[in-house]
Amino acid sequence: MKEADPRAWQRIVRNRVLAAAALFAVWALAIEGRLVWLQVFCHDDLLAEANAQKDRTRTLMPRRGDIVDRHGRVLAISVDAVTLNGAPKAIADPAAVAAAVCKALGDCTARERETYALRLSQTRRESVYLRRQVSLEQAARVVEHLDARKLRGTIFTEAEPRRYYPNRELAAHVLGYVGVDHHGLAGVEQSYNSRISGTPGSAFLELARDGSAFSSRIDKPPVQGDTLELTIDAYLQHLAERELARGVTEHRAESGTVIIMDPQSGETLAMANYPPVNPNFYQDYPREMWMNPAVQGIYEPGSTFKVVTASAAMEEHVFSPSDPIDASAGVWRSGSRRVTEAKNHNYGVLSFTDVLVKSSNVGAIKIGLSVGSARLGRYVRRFGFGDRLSGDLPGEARGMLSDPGRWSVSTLASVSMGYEIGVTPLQMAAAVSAVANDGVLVQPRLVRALRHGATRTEVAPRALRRVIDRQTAAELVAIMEQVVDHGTGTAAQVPGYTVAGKTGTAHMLRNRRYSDTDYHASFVGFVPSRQPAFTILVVVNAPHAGQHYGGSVAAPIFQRIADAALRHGGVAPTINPLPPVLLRASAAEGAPSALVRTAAPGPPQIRVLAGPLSIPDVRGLGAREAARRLVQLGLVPRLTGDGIVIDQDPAAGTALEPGRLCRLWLDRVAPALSPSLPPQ
Amino acid sequence: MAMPGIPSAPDAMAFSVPKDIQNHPVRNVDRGRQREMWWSVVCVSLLVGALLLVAWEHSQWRELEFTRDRLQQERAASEAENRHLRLELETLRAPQRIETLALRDLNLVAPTQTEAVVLVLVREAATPSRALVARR
Repeated sequence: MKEADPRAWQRIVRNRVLAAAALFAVWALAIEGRLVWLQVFCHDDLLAEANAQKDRTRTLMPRRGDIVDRHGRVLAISVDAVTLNGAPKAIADPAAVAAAVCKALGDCTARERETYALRLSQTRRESVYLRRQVSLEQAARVVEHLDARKLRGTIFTEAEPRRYYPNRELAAHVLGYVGVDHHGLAGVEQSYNSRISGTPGSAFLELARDGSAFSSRIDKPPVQGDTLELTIDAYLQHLAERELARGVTEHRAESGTVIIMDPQSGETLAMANYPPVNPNFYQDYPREMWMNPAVQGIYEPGSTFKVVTASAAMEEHVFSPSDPIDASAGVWRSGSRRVTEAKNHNYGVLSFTDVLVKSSNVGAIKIGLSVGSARLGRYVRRFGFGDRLSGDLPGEARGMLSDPGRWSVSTLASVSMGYEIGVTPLQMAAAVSAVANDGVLVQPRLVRALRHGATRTEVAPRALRRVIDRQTAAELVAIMEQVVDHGTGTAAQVPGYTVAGKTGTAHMLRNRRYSDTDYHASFVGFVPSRQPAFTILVVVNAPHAGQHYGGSVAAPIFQRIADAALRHGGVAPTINPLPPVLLRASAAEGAPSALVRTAAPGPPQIRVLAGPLSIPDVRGLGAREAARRLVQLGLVPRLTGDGIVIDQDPAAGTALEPGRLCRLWLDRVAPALSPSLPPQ
Repeated sequence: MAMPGIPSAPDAMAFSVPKDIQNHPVRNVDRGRQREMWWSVVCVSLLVGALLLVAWEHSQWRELEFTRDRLQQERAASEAENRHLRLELETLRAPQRIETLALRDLNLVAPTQTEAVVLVLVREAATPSRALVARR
């Protein structure tokens, strides 16, 4: 019998250990292999997948720049608002949540409530949006309401800016509006969108499993948009809108437009249209109501265009103001066409001046025929018709002007008295401003400056060209004064001031035919006529209250606007002015401090109409406030140091010169003041 | 008691050998090890100090970050409030509203030409700095 090997158990153990080790090695190799596969070969894909799950880049919307008027009054401003979002997965009863949200908002319709309930029942989605640009007060009410009903977590909010127009309808067509995606969709909001909207920033977020951010950093901060400073004067704008609305309502007209312009600088001080629109609720108005008739509406100007015809005739020495023109019979014929005077007048032989004063159609046609197509067409172009004059508003129309080389006699006659030519109210106001401005056409504009922080970039006035000679302009002014003094525009007289103007009445085109019931009644003029402060254009469309002539419909509106505007602008009367009141200006503030001599009897109502004439004392103010004050005065601040202003150059009280550099030194610690001795 | 086979020592001899028992050992200072120990203490202290400094700095940094975030939030909130107040101010200053209040509630009327006097402010011209001035 073979004896058992006493060491056999050792071999068995060794083999088993080796087998176990081999198994472990295979297992380890498999794991290592898998790890190598995941970490090396699939590294990029898995990293991208992980990042996609946890990393988010969020766009930070910049705050849109403000829009202010020429005196710094806010016309458009962006404030914080919120978007209401729902979390359908956390909602058991969508109808109840929708009802609670609507009750808290307070302005929901039944249809909106149904829509909210429908959206909140989409349980597959993580979040659904309910309403955008909700005010903070409304959002707080919603949260409070949901908390009270133990529905917290069903609705969450997301901050976003909202555009407000605090003056509601004021200058609405000029301002335009901003859509929900923060893009300007009309007015200067659209044309200056790239400057106002600012530059978006970005933030990097790392999300936890539940979607909440556990880490965030701002990669690129958003840059706020520029502040747009318009040439509009908020008070004059209100005045224009008020008087236009009154005129349109009184005369039961369809619509109307008023433009107030500074003829020397081309600055548009007011641009009003009726019917008005409210940009805070832009969606409530049809798209066509957002068309700005002052720059997009084309109309036939009628007799106001005779100013252009007369300019061409005088500049080309075809007629002088005293030359006689035969307008006898009161009718002009060309083939089958027959043109008569208004109210079938028969003026007989008129002087050139009286053709404009009485607004004779036959006289204007004869002047136009004498000037000829080529020359009249050249002057029409030189006055800016047929071109876009200002690029400040979107969709500005060129007007309608056919090639003068192809004008027939009938067309030439029509153009001479303001028909067969389409102009915009802005073109008409700019053309008459050229007459007021000694014959120089200045580009009309709506933007005065752009502000970025403490930097203010002013838009300089731009003289386009000399249209007529200074002497011709002066003679035209004298003729236009007579129009208001004893012609068709007597209703435009402003007591105490000389007014130059021209009336216009034109048949409106209805279905390609001239209407016998609908007219464009217009008046354009400037005041005071010899030192013009304002050019005012009034156009009233389709008045139906009996009167339809420019002299009886538009001229009274002009008169009311001019009267109030002159007082607002502090323009002294030009007819029998009061003796001057002499005041001594205070050195510190530039305001009158003591009455030296007055020639007017009795205590007059003294209005200090001039603004600060000297550089203010900004010491002790913070950098931002000091810079703001200086920028508002047209100065250019240059800051050194930080803290509060401790010194300035030029010193306070120095005469104000817009555009002057003003150096400010700042420090954290205010300089110690030397104790002042009590007065003896 | 004497053992068998071994001669016993006389008793006087037993008393002549003094007991010299060294039961309080003297430990000599090892300067090298002591130096190493102090170096170690210094190094550990420095290390701990550096760690504490880093931790303190990190804590301060975090605290400043929190403060900065809080201040930024306060600033943003203040700016937002400022904008809301400006909006409210401009809404209250709207010309149409003021005019309605003046005409309806205060019974005011616009001044006529005779009731308002326009003052034209004329500044006295400054003497040119380089003007020729006659001297006596």
